[in-house]
Amino acid sequence: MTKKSKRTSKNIVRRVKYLQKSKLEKEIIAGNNPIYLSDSDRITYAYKRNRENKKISEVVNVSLEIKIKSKWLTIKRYDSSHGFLHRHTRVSIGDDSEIISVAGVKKSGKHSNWLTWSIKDIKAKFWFYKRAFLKRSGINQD
Amino acid sequence: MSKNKQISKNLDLSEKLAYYIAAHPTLNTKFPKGSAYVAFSATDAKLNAANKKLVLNLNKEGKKIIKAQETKNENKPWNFSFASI
Repeated sequence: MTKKSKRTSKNIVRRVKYLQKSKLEKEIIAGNNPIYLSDSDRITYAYKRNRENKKISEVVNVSLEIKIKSKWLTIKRYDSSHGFLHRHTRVSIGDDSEIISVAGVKKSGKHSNWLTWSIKDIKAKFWFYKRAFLKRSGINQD
Repeated sequence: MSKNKQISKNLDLSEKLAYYIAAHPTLNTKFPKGSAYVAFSATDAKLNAANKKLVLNLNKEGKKIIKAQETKNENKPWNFSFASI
């Protein structure tokens, strides 16, 4: 006779932790080293890739960071942690809360398409994102 | 070279580098945690001069910088080395 484990909350937590750990071991996080554009602007790309089939399994972080008063602030960030690509937008220098949105974000395709799309988006709209953030923060760039 | 021009040119280079990084997932395992890239062009000497200054400034701040040198070789489009003072 086999002993059946009880479905206690402690056992469920243990099981979830085990599944999370085994999932992590199957994936490798690549990228995650920022690329400097200037001494006060940089971009970071990080994604998860499955060790077995080599496919991109998650966009971890595609972000645009700027340095203001010796502090690096992430002003725009994409990730697909909930199974779909979405955008995080920092409100302003003084307000570190984020607006999470899928408006105008690529919905079709897979994680690899989303990674390419977010890299292109940050590149294409770099100046727009930066100017908009500085404007929201009350800083005039002119 | 103005800072804005440097940023615009580095945006183009960073896109190419990002695709290379995406295609080579073991690349970041070769470098220590906390290191960062500065890309150098295969053709643009003015940008490279500006980026050299950038590396010097980042090194002074104590940052570990990886010099990503774009090449004209299609089979090996990037060379990586540590940029030190």
